[in-house]
Amino acid sequence: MRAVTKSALVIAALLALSAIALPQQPPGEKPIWVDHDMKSIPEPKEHETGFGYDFINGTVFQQIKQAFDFPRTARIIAGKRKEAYNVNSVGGVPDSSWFTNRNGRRPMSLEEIRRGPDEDAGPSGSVLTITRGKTQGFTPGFWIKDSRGDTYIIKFDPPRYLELASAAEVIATKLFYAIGYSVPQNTIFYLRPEQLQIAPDAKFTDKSGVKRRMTQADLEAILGMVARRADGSYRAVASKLLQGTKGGFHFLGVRRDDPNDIIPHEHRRDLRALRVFCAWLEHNDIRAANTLDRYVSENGRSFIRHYLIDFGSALGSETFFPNPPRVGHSHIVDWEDAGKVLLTAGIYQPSWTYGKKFRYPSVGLYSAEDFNPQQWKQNFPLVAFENMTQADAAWAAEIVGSFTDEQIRAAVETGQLSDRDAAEYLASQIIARRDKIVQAYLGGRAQRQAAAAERK
Amino acid sequence: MAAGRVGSLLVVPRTVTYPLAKLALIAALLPAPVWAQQPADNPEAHQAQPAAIEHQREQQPAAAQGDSAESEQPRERIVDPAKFPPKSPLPARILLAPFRALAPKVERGLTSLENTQVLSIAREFLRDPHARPLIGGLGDGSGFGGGVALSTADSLPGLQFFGTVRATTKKYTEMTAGIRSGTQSEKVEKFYVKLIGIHRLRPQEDFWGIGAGAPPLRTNYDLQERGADLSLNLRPQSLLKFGVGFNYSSNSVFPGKDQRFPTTQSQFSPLQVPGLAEGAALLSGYFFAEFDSRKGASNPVHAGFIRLGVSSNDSVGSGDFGYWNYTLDARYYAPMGSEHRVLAMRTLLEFNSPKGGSQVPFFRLARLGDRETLRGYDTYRFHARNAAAWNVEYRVDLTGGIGAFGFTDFGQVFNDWSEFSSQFFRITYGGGLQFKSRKKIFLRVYVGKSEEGTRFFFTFGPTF
Repeated sequence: MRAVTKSALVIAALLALSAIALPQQPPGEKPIWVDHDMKSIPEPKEHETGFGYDFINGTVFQQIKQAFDFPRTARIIAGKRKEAYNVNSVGGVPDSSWFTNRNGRRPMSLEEIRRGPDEDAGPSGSVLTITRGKTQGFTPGFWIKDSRGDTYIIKFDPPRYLELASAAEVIATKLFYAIGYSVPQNTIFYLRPEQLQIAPDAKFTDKSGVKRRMTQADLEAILGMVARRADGSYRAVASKLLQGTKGGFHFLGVRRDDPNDIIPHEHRRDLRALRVFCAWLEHNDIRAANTLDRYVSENGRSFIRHYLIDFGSALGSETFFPNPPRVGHSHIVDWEDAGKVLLTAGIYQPSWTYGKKFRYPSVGLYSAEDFNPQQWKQNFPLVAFENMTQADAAWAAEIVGSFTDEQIRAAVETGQLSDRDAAEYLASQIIARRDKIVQAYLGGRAQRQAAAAERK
Repeated sequence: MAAGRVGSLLVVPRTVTYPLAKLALIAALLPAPVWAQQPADNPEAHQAQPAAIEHQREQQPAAAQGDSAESEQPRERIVDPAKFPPKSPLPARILLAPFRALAPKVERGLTSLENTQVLSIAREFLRDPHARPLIGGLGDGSGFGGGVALSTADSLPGLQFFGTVRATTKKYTEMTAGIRSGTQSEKVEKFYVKLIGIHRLRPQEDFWGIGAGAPPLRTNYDLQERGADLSLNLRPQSLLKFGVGFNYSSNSVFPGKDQRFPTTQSQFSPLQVPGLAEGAALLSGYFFAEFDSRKGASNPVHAGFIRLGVSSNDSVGSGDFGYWNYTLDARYYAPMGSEHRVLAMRTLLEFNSPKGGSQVPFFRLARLGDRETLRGYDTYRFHARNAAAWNVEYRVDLTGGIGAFGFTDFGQVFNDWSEFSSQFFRITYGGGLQFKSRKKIFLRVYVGKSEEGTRFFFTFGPTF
C-alpha cells in the first residue's frame, strides 16, 4: 500500500513538473505572431520518405513505444496532456515556415480562395513536351514542359471515375492553402493527344520497373489506362513542379539538418491539429511521403519551407478508385478495432464493415452522415495526431468554422465538376462536416455565440 | 522503510522520498498557472480565447498578418532556442538509443526498396501467365518449398503446354508436364482435354499403422511415383463441372529417409501393410462432379462447394490390388450477419471398397491428421480404408488483412462399420491467425490441440 502511495505521489510530482514546464507563451505578454524559423541555413541533403517505414513505424513501433511511455500515460489518465509548444499568449499559432495564418485570422475573398497558391493558370502553349513518363505503380502519368519552360506533373483520373481524383486534388489544395499550409499549385488541365510531343531524351519506367527511352507506344499505353472524355480529350491535374525538394517531414521529432527546426513535430499545434483539417477534407493518406520540405530562398534568406502535397486521395477519392468504406473510420491496421473484434469473438464489428455506397462517381465516398470528427482516423497512426489536445482541436475548429458556405462553394468550383448536382452535393457535405467539427470541438461555445447573436 | 526493500516500485530511501512526495503533493494540488490550464479544463478561459484573438487581429501589424511571415517584429522564436529541441530524460535516451540509431537506416532501406518498385515488379511477375512462382510445400510434412509453373498460356492457338517443378527442404520433389486444349484458365474454360505426366518423390511419408486404434508409433517410408493422367472436363455452366479420366500410377516404396524415426519396413510386415514390399502399379478410371457457388474460392464468405468422385482402381503389375474409391467433399460458408464473420463447415467422406478379395495399397488408404483434418494430431496419424471427418471453423476479420479463427475438427478412420464407434471418435480444437490479400488467404499460423498433444502450423496458400 505504501509503495502504491509513493508511486502515485511520484507520478503526481512528474505531472506537476510537466505542467510547470509548459513552454507556451504566458498570457498577458504581447503575443508573438511570427515565429522566426526562417533564418538562413546551409542546404540540407535530400532524404527520401516512403510508405513502408511510415506504416510500420506508426502502426507498430510507435504504438509499442507509447505503451511503455508511463509519464505520458499518467498525464493522459490525469487529464493533463502535454500542450503544444508553438502557441502564443492568446492561443494562436504564429506564422512560420510551417503555417501561415490565412482565413482563420483574416477572411479571404472568394477570388483569393479560388486562386489559392496558383502563380499561373497552368501549362501554357499549344505544344507540350513530355520529359518523363511511367506506367508503373497505381497512377500512370508523365511530366511536361510548357512554352514558358515550367515543368508540371500530369496526373489523370481513374478510367471509370472521370473527375474523381482531379477534382479532389484541386479542391483540397485550395482549402488547405486557405487554412494556412503551404501547398503546390494544382490546376485542372484539359489536353488532347495531338498537343503532346515526346522529348528525345524522355525517360520512361514500365510496369516491370525497367527504365528506358520513352516512345509513342508508351504514351498511348498511359493514355489507354486513364479516363477519357467523350470528345476524346483528357482531363488531368497539372501539378507545378516544386524545386529544391529535400524529402518529406515526419510527424515526430525534428529534422536534424535544419537548425531552424527546434520544436518537436509531435508538439507543434499546426501538425497536431492538422488531424482536424484532414478529417474535414478526408485527407486520410496523410503521411511523410505526402509532405515535402523545400529549400527556398526568400528575402535573401535560404531555409526550409514545409509543404503538404498529393491530395489525390482527399475527399471521396482514393486516387484510383472511390474511398473504400473503411476510410476515415479505421486505420489500415487498427489494433483497437482488432482487439474489440477479438475480445468479443467477432460480435463487435466496426460500423463501416456494413458498407456504404457513393452517390456520384465523380465525388466518390465522402459524406457528413456518419462523420464523427473526434473518432476520425487516417490511414495509419501519426504521433502528432495522437498528441492532439482539446486546445489544439479547438484552435483548428475555429479555423474550420471561419470558412463560409460561399468560400467552400468557391473552392469546390475550382474542381470543375461537370455535374452541377455532384458539385452541390460535395459542397453541402463539406459544409455539414465543417458544422460537425465546430459542434464537436467548440460545441457549447458555438451554441452560446449563436444564442447571443439571436438575442441581438 | 529500508532502502531497496523488495516490493517498492522505486528503490529510494524514505528520507528522500517523503520530502519529495510532500513537495510533489503540494505542487500537484496547487492550481496550475492560468496560462498552463487547458481550455478543455477551463471553459471560461476557452471562451475568452476568441475574443482575445479578435483583439489581436485588430492590433496586429498588417505585415505580420496573412501570407507574410516576414515582418518588422524583432527576430524571436515562440520557444527559447537555448532549451530546444528538448532532451528526453537520460533513462529514456539510453533505452531508445538503439532505435534512434537504427531508425534512419531502416527508413533508408525500406524507402530504397520501395523506390526499386520491388512490389509492383513482383506483382507483374505473379500475374505473368507464362512463368509464375509456386510458394509452399508438397503437402503435410513435406517441409517448406517452392518452385515455378511454366505455361505457353495463350501463345499458341487452341492449346497450351505447361509444366511445374517444385522442391522442398525435406527433399520432396514434384515435376509435371502436360498439354491441354484451350488457352483460358481452367476456371473459365467450358471444355478441355488434359494430358499430364507426373513424377513425385516423397522420401519421408509418415505412417502409424492401419486402423482407428493404431498406437502412436511413428514410422516413415519413401514413396516414389511416376504416372500419367488423361481427363475430359466439361463446364456446362459456371457453377457446375464434370470430368472423366484415366490415370496410370506406378508406385515404388522404400525405407523412409527420416533418421529420427524407424522405417515402416522395420516395424510392419507386408502382410499387415499391403503394398509395403513391392509398391503398386495402378490403372484407374474416374468420374467426378463439382458444384461450386462460393464467392471467392480462395477466401470464401458464403455459399458452398460440393464434389463427388468415384474411381475404379486395379493393379497392372505385381500384387493383387483392386478397389472402388468414393469421395465426398462438401463445404458450406455461412456469413454471420456480415461477410467479415463467417462460419465455415466441411464434411469429408472417403470409402475404399475392395473388389473381391483384392486389397487397397496402404499409401492409397484414407487418412486423417493434416492441416485440414483432425488438426492437433500428427501428420497422417490415422490410416484405414474409410474415413469420415468434419470441420467447423469460425473466421472473423480483425483488421486490414488480418483475421482470426477458431476451429474444432472431429472424425475417425475405420476399416469397416463395426469399427466406427464413439471409442475411436477423435476431436481436436484450436485457433490462430490468417493473413490475406484482397482476394485470398496466403498465410495461416495456428495451433491445434488433441489428446495426443499440441501442434503448431504455418501454412501458405488458401484453405478449405
